Amino acid sequence: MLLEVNQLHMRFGGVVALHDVTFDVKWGSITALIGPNGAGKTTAFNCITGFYKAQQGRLRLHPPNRPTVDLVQILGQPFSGSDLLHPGRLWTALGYKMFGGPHLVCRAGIARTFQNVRLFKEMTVLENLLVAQHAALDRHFFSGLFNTATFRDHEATALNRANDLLDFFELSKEANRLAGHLSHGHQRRVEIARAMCTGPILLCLDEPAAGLNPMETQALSGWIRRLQKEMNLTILLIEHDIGLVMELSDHIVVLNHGEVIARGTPAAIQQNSGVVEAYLG
Amino acid sequence: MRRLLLHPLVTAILVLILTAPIAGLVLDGYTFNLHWQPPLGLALTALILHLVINLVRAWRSAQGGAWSVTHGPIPVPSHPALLRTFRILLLLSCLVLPFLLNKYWLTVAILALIYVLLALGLNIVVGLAGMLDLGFVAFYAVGAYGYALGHEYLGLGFWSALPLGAFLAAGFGVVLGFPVLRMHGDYLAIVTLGFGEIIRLVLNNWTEFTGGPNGVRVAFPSLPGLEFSRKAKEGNIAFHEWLGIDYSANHRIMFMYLILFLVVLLIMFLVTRLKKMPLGRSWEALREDEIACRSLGINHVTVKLSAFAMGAMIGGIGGVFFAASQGFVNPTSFTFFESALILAIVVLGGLGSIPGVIIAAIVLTVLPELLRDFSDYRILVFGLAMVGMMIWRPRGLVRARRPVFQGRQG
Ligand SMILES: Nc1ncnc2c1ncn2[C@@H]1O[C@H](COP(=O)(O)OP(=O)(O)OP(=O)(O)O)[C@@H](O)[C@H]1O
Ligand SMILES: [Mg+2]
Repeated sequence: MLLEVNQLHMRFGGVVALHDVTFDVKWGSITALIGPNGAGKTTAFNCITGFYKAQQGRLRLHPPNRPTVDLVQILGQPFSGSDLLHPGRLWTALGYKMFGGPHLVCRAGIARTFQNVRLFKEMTVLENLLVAQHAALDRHFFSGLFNTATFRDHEATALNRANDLLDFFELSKEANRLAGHLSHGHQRRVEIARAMCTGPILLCLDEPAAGLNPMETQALSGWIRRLQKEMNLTILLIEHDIGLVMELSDHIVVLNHGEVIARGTPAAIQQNSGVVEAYLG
Repeated sequence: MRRLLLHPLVTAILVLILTAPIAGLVLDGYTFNLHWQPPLGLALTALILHLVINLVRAWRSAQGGAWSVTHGPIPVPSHPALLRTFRILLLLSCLVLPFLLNKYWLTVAILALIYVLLALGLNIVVGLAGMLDLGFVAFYAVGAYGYALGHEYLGLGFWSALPLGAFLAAGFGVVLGFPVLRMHGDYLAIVTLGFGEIIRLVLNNWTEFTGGPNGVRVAFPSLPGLEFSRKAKEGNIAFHEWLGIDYSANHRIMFMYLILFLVVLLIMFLVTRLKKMPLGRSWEALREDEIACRSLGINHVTVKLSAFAMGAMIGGIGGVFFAASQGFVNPTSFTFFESALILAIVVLGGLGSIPGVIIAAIVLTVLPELLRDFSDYRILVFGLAMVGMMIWRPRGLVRARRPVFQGRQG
């Protein structure tokens, strides 16, 4: 088990967006999150990736060969009374409160894309990918200023990796074009490539096939498969294209009105009367 | 064709109707006199202007939409050798310049260079990091007063004040940065505007410490052991005696110009390198999309603060030079108008573009000096230039260039 989502609650004022959401993502699997519009899928994503702070619930990442990460704690939580008795705990809590946030979730190994593509539009495709690799670069101010050998080495490695990913997604021709000038399909691919640049364990894709034509969707499905197989990636996917979901996923979680109404294999979900009634129709 | 002639005519008539009562009616004792000349002149000017605009437009569209943006790969500069020669020539002419100018134009040149510094600093905050800062003059003031007060109370010289003013301003940048971390766009603009005014008001009203509106005197820069005065103080040598030439008040200003030019070169180098470093790239990414940045593991807090600090630092250096070149500072040099001017330079030059910003800074400081006779219309011309730029070159004079990397296939 890689990601553990336990009894997640999220309210926006009076709107209950997530209620008691519990599911797991197995290591190396493709897990799909489906449900009608407004079911709370994107909200669940935002909680997992740290953009929203859930009111209740536990989120844990269990990366192989590394210690477990508490995805709620690293966002910075309000102090509790018991913290005062444990100075060590208070200190960590204070640290996360000041410097915590979604960027720590990313560094823990979760990368994501957005439902409405969020590229750096006025930068080139390669620059987009380089920005994402900032953690792997030589960030010392003076080595960058004087363009030292180490600095150039790191830049070259990052450029190589970016070019590899562009090759993978068949985007090499677009490398030096402004990201905002690409077609929608290409932009979606660049966004996935950019997320891959952070070196994630878990890749969260929010409706990657939205706005793609059937051919592009087919190609995308191939790439997602290859990401899982060749790069040992675990993938969490939100998608309305049921064909794609059934073809790709090992495990499906169905949300409706913020509640999990079913979990299981694609075959089981297709047979589930509740799901058919609420969503598949 | 009809639009070409008709619209300018309509414009002219409108101008005539609007300006006739304002510019044409002259009070003469208890009666009015209608003078037709001024409104007619204005109307004619409008007619000609509009006609010219229409002609240019027609010519442009006949050329087949030359304004459209290219969507292909970004072009690589075609003549690198030519560009290099041009740069070297430019550098040499800038170095020779002070020996050819008289005192008045030397001070103008120094002012222009100071504005280049300020614009480069604000360019980091607004152009690269995308945070609209309307109070940049605050850091300029911190630098200038840092030197002035440091000299007054601690006896600091120019050379120690330079790094100190820079650090002080950077510190103020961080102080401003913290509360505005969560703000964007208009809200950020208003808070920074307030910050700029607060600094000015404090300088104006804290009379015991800053001298209030009376300002503070500042020492002129010198080299260790050398002075730029007619008679050197005990133990020092006067510059002209050292070189064995006649005394001239210009030496001090030339010296100032040369140091300032050197510092501008250094800062240009710094900013150019920054654009190629992970930090600079993070700034630009932050300008494009903050949420995406955070999803990629970039800590927006440090990135924003570093942009504020770096921009403020450069502004502070500009301030130290300003104080040193004037020999005197008081709060009237640090009004909102200065902030607006620097922002206008950055926007007109092209957000994020280093050459564009430099050209705009020089043009906007030298042009008003050339047009002294028309100083009443300075703001008007300024506004017109702004409007024109927004229509025809919304990205500024020089569009920021993107780095091109060698791809592996094509
Ligand atoms: N920031 C927010 N503030 C207030 N309400 C929100 C916010 N984000 C989401 N909601 C509400 O939460 C509910 C779930 O929204 P969410 O975006 O998660 O749906 P979704 O399942 O992703 O739908 P879609 O398939 O249309 O993308 C909706 O009722 C929405 O209005
Ligand atoms: Mg959604």
